[in-house]
Amino acid sequence: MSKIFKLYTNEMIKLSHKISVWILVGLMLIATFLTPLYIWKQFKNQNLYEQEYPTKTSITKERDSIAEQLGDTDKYTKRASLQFMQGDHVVDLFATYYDLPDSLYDQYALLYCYNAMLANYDFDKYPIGDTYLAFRAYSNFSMQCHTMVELNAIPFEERDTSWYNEYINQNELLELSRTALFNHDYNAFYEYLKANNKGYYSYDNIIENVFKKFLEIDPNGELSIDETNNYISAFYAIFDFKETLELGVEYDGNTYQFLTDARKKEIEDKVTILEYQLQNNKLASIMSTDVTQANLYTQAFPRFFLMLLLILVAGSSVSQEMATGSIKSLIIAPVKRWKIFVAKLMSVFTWVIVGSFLITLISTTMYSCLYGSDILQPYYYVSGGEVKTIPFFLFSLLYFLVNNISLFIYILLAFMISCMTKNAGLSVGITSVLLVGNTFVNSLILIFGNRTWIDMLPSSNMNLVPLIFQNIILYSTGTDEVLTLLSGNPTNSLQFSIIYLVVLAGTILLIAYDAFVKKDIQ
Amino acid sequence: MEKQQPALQIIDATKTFGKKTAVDHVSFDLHPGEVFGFLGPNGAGKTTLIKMVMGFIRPDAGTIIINGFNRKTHYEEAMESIGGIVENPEMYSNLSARLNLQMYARLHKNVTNERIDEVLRLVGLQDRANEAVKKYSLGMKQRIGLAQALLHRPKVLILDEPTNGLDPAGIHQLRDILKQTAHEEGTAVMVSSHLLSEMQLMCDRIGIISHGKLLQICSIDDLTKQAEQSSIYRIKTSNPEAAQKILSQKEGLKISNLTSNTLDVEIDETGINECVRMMVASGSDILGVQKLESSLEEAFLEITGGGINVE
Repeated sequence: MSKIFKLYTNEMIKLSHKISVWILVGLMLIATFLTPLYIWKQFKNQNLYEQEYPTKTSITKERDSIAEQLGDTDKYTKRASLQFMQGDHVVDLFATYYDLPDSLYDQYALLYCYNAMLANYDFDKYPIGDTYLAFRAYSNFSMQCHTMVELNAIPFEERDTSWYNEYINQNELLELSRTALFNHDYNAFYEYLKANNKGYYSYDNIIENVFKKFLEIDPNGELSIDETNNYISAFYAIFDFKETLELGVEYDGNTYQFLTDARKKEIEDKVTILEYQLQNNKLASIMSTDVTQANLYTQAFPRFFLMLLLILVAGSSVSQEMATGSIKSLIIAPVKRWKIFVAKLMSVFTWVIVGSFLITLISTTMYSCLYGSDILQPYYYVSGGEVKTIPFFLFSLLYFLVNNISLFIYILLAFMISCMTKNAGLSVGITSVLLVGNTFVNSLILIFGNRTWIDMLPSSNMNLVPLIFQNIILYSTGTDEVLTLLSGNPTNSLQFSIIYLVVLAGTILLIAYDAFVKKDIQ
Repeated sequence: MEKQQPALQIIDATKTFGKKTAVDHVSFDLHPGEVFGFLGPNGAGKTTLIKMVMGFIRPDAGTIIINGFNRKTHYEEAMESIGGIVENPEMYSNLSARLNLQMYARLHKNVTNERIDEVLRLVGLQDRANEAVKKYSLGMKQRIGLAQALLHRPKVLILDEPTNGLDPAGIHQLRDILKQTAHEEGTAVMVSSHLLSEMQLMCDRIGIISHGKLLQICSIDDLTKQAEQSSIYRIKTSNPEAAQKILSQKEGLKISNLTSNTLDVEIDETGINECVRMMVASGSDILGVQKLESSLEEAFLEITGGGINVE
């Protein structure tokens, strides 16, 4: 064993004296350093995580511009009196109606709403957009205003009992949302939402449930926008998942699929984690989720240089020594040939580990510096019914290794060719061609969709991240749909893929071993 | 001479490449303290045999025992006792000579930094040891190769054509180093060459190989004696034919190559005196007698069936 380590030391000394190695290491480090900086610079001036909420200024501005378009609003207003029977009573009404051209309905409704807002709402006490509760009350209030204008726009002569019933109903709703918005009393509003959503498995039902949950956490609507968003996303996700579990059916973008046991477990785990995060106040912000994912995905750029480095190192490992003849001093030494083989393999894999470590370390440090150290979340998983975490750095490193499982195969391939040929250029070249070929095959898969034979290709079995780290994406944010599209969905099971890769790697190693250990050196 | 365990035993080693048998049932022993010359024409199987001993090529059959260890069963112990250069010495050319030696030393037992300095001094490279090997001349590369081969004080030192690229002073120095290593440190040295003259100057014993077969092993003294026993003398005379007639009466004498005024005779040293006396007595004129060449090469050519480069 000590001989292997001595050989390994020598291998590392040899590699450390190669200029090409250091150039690629340099490029890799520069890429690792610059990518987070670029991401940060690109997005720092865009308030991606702030929604546009109405403020006093914006509402005033809107009101003024609408008022200008409408001109004298009084000219649209007509008044009349009407008598009709409502049950046993004779209703005597003095009504107002708006004689509006079609194009101006919306404008007028908004003006009506803005005027009411500006007259009654205390912007200094409660900015409307601060919480989910206030914002929902606001949008409902504006919706009710709109409906009231529409009802009033119906010509006086055409109004009948049903109009009157609707009017009373809408008036009541307007009052409810007015109370919620102006007085920050959301309970009545919730009761209304509940009463008006009859469908059990509906989007509205989820909204209602989210509202209720949120009411428990923030009864007066005092939370910040970011916090609100995080809670809402988590609530939505939980209700969504629970609904899916209850239905036992999931829409995968094309068809409805019955949940498998594994998928059911996956969803249950996600719910457990989200509920744990809610209870323990550990909910990740959307920004934090995005930065965490950006960190994971931007590692692909330095990865390119690592890949080049590794293919160069692995590809020249044996062939270059054969070509220059320096292999002789290894063969003459009192070490068995398989030990040389193992030591060379170890030296190549050291660069994988060191490279991955450096990329992860620099990338993580950069993102932490640019966005604050709290931004990168640990990885949550459920084990034995309990929620556990892996610290971000370790997770990031593991993620990098799993995500780059193809790297290992390519290195072995380059190493194998290196053992079989005396030409370092040839082995590096062939591996590079295979690399490009794989990208080509991947794009073919995108074009032709999934076929059985495609499942048997190496590239179909190298996308292990979604199988191993199922909880990276707990709920949907803007970026992850793009990311899923990029990485694709694995079609084979984890067990199948792992066995496939082990057999593949084993075969490559065996050929390499046979070529190097058994062959005569001329 | 006391009976010692051979440093290297090659028993019945055989290697074929396709249809060609490169090494054909070769067996011999190498003893501590001797310099063994391995002589043969190009393509005779010298390098194949050396590569077999050094672990580059697996023998198809046969046993190789180094310092008492069977190479097959005790590979690392056996290889610990062997050092050498196969064909050209190849180092990691972008590393310094010293680093090359340190890396090589790491793979052996008990090689200290002092030993590295010692071998560097021995081959005269102590002042340029920190330069990258790629800056070295061919001769310097041979020297550093020798330094590496000697580094771990091997019991068996095998050098394949070691004088390639060395200047005359270097060759002289190499001879001294090899003799010293063999005779003082008791190392068994095997040197391969196709140059007989080189072998004569440094070897104690010579093995002659041709077409993969080991034809003969003899000590250099025997070979010289054999050569001395019959040298070729060119006798210059005005009438070679008459001289031939006179000399043909003598036994153990071979006459070859008759020209208009010379004849070559093959005979030992005492014999030539008698020949001269016989010619003088018969009245033939003798214009000159010249010893043409040692017939070591002749002997060699005869053994190997020709094809050697004689310089």
